Amino acid sequence: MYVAGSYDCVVVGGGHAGCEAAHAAARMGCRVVLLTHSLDAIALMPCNPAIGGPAKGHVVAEIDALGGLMGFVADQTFLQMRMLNTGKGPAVRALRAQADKKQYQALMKKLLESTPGLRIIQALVTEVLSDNGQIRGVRTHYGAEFYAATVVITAGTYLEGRVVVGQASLQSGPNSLLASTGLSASLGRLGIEMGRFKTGTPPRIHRRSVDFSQMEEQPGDDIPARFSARSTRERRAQLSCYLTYTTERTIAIIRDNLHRSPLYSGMIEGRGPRYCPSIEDKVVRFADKERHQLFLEPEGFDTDEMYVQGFSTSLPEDVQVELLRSVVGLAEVEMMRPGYAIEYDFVLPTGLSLALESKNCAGLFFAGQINGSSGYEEAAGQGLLAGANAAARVLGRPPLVLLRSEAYLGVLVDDLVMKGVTEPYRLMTSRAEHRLLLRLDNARSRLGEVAAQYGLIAAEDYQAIKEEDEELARLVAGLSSRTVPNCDAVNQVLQGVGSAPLTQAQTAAALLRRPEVRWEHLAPFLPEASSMSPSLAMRLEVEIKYAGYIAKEREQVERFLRLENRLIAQNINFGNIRGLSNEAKENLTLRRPHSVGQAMRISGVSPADVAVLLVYLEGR
Amino acid sequence: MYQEVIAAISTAPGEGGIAIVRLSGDGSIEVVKKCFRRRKGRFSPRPWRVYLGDIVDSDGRRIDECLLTFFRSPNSYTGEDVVELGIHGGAFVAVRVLERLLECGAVLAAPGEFTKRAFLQGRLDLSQAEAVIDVIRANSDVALQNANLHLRGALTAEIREAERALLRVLALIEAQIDFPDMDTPKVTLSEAGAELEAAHAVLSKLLASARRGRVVKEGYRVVIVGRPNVGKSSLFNYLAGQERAIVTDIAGTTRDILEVSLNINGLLVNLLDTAGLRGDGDFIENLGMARTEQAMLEADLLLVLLDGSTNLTTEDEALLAKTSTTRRLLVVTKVDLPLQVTLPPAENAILVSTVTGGGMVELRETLAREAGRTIGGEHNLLLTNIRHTESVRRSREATRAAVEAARAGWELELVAIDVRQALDYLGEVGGRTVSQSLTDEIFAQFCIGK
Ligand SMILES: Nc1nc2c(ncn2[C@@H]2O[C@H](COP(=O)(O)OP(=O)(O)OP(=O)(O)O)[C@@H](O)[C@H]2O)c(=O)[nH]1
Ligand SMILES: [Mg+2]
Repeated sequence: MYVAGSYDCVVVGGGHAGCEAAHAAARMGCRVVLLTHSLDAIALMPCNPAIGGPAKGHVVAEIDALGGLMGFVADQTFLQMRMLNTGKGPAVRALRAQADKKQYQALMKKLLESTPGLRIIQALVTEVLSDNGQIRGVRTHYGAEFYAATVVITAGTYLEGRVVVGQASLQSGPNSLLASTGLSASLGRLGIEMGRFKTGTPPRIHRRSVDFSQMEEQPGDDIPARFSARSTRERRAQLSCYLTYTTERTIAIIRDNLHRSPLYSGMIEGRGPRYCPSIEDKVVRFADKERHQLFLEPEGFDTDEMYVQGFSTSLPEDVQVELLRSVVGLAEVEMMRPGYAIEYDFVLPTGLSLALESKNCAGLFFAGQINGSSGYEEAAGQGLLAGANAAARVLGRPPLVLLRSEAYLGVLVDDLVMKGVTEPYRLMTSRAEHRLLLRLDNARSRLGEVAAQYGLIAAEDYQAIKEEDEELARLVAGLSSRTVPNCDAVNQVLQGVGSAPLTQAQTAAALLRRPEVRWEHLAPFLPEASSMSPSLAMRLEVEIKYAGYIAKEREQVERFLRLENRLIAQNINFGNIRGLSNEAKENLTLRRPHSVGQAMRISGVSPADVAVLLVYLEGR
Repeated sequence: MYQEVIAAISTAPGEGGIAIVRLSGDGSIEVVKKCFRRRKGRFSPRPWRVYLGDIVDSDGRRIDECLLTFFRSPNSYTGEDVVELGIHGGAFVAVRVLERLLECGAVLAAPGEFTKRAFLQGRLDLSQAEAVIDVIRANSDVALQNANLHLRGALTAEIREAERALLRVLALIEAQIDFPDMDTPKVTLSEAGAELEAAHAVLSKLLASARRGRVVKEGYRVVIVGRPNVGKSSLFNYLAGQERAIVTDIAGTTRDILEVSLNINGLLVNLLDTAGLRGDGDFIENLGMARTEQAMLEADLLLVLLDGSTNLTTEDEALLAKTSTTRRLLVVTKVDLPLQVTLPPAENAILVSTVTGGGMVELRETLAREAGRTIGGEHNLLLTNIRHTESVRRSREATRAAVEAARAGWELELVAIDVRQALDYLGEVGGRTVSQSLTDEIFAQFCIGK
């Protein structure tokens, strides 16, 4: 046995969750070591090259607001950037980057290497060490022991990973990387409940074998936005994606070869996500759809590999090639890597606290796909929170828990821990009850205070955020009293957008509240507009234009918080509360909610049970 | 602290006399001001005073006379502002008043909520906590039973239809927002508006058809039956306290149905006199008997009359057999004469005489008890019904807001807010939460995937 060192925090895994976890804990002043089985796999994107999109992009902005890395790194390494959902509403506008995978990895590794207090070591962790329900450290395959007060496990889809293509299977993590064997059993010995999921990835093809003339080009935005306020905006070259379709032949080939699919032959039993079905799933489940759309996405500037989005499959290689050839524009395709399905063990997230700490072992935290989620962004977000909470534990500070009403990260963790998962969990904007308040443009404003409190961002950054908020409030007040004159110039603009002309002078705010009138229409008539940054102008427009809706949501949040702030002591014995239904007793005991609000979201807890609980709590 | 104004009928139905409708919460008096008209003078209520006036509907028409008392926080039952309305009419009027208060912005109190609030405001002491819990539990179990009963009915199908329509629109919008690259059908604002308009129509239809409890509204229906000359009309007149029906010693005197409304211990009872049933009537009498048959079907209770002064005839036997499975009460008439009749075994009967008035007190008491039981049960059902109607009404309002948002050109995201709200309200009736069914709907409807 070799004692390799003592730390405040050991992070196991160097994926998106591990990177943010290690960085956040170090940021908060802990001595941290990140252990990963391959230093070359740090921040690897084994599936698609995209970061962001609806809800996911919001998470990236929240990670950035909490001092995390993902957004900044994506900003520096994108090969395409697009703002999605413009024109569908202020809060669903979403930023998505296509990253150069290698550049992304390299920059992330560099940033971690230069983070004070953080060491990065290549090691294959196979065992967790604990004493009486308290974590002590980890042991590696070669027998080295790392001791720490807290351990964050971010093992992704590597736990007992098994890759399947056709009838062949391999003990392996994603992308032919080593699977993690042993760790899962070690966790099981702590009494931690595990499940098994399945996911998959499509084949990669060579750019020169694609006939782009038969496809629709999708370029990036002319003026690409950025995730992080820390990023500079200098110009970057961008690459295009391409839209193409499957054909009747694709469907016929799948039908003829279904018996060779491991999903249908019973070789794979793990549950896969509904939002990421394999192409064979799509053909079976949506039988009357004549064609399915596919996107070809570049994997990087320095490679000709392209990712075939929408074509995830685990059919045998020969069928994959035949299938690809049936796609419009891919008749001559050269497949470089086959698609595959991967099965892996995960930890039932209902066994975790809202701080992502195991209920079975104090100081042991989990983050990322190991918690049954999917997606790089969901993983990174959990990583940041788990890392911060590990550090908070070391520092003797209260856990960092975000509410559903203040961040997508709050929705994510609450959903995982309180509801549990039956398929890999993907964040969607429709999962947030108060979507209108959780916008890209106000992420820093929403999370600045808590980020500063926990030492995740610098005090002067928070100061700047506060100043911008104050400036915004001043501007909102100003425009509510500033009048726009009833003159030809104004009326011409109004008529141009199909809006009724003025009959008398009106306040700028009132005009902006007309759905068809936008900030850019009014700006020429407002002197304060000239000195305003575009991001401030955007926030100003949203705050004024949607004031009615925002006020309504705020009121709902207030009602929501009333129950959310009604805390439940952790030593309560729900079984002893008279008047609770048996189902409520059972589920409350199992989930141990921290607040009445959370209790209410647990299945089997009726409004009458909530009333009983309230009375009981008051009586104590 | 944000607290809604709650309202409920706080007297048990069928207790007779005055019904009390109670409100609690800051702003209670503001809610009442919208529908209370004082008899004389302006209405600027001061606490611990009683005001006489009317509760009026939205057109200013009187619903009922009422005595209003205002209790200022914290010296009230719940510790919040409380308004009590004492109203005269029976259970049905109380329900109308309650509905009017809901229209004016109050929300229907949850089971045990007054007591709960009283407790949370510190008005009840700690030892009462368990009693409060029992109240909540018991009431909600009754409410649940009623809800289940209710949901088995036709209402369910229509609620589900509206729910499906709203969910379809929401899934379309949300799929488009969360999976913008996917080839899900793209819904435009005007299409969404049209679909929502249709959902709105379903909800309107639902509201229009929302049935009230019949008994609470129309009274408890008691039908007097028996062979000709058994004394039906005599009993009818006696109970009505007036000579409404013609009484003769000719069999087959009564040929049509007579009805009178009685107030028995504060409950509305409708008493029906029918044509006697026999095998060999003339044409008109047969027509009358057909009506009797119909009335028997619609009865809440049958009074089966048997002539005490003779033995049972075959007609009596036939009637007893025919009504053996319906709710009935045997009444032996003419007991001032020598008693001849032998009653069927193991069945209670009340013995009466319209000549001496004997047995009438017992008969009235029995009627009141039976009516009270039925009305009480239905009253609970009715409250469930109001709760549901209220949810449907709010759902319709939210749907209307969504239609208007789409029409005004607000973006899909904002339209979705109101649609989701509309679904939330329907969920209060159907018991489903939006978030889960929405996710299921999106993945069931659309082929989405990377
Ligand atoms: N002594 C005595 N006679 C009664 C009593 N009730 C009714 N009668 C007599 O019984 C006869 C028939 O009474 P009705 O009330 O007309 O009987 P009915 O059942 O309505 O008869 P139809 O309408 O013909 O079916 C009349 O002569 C009544 O005076 C009673 O309590 N005591
Ligand atoms: Mg008669």
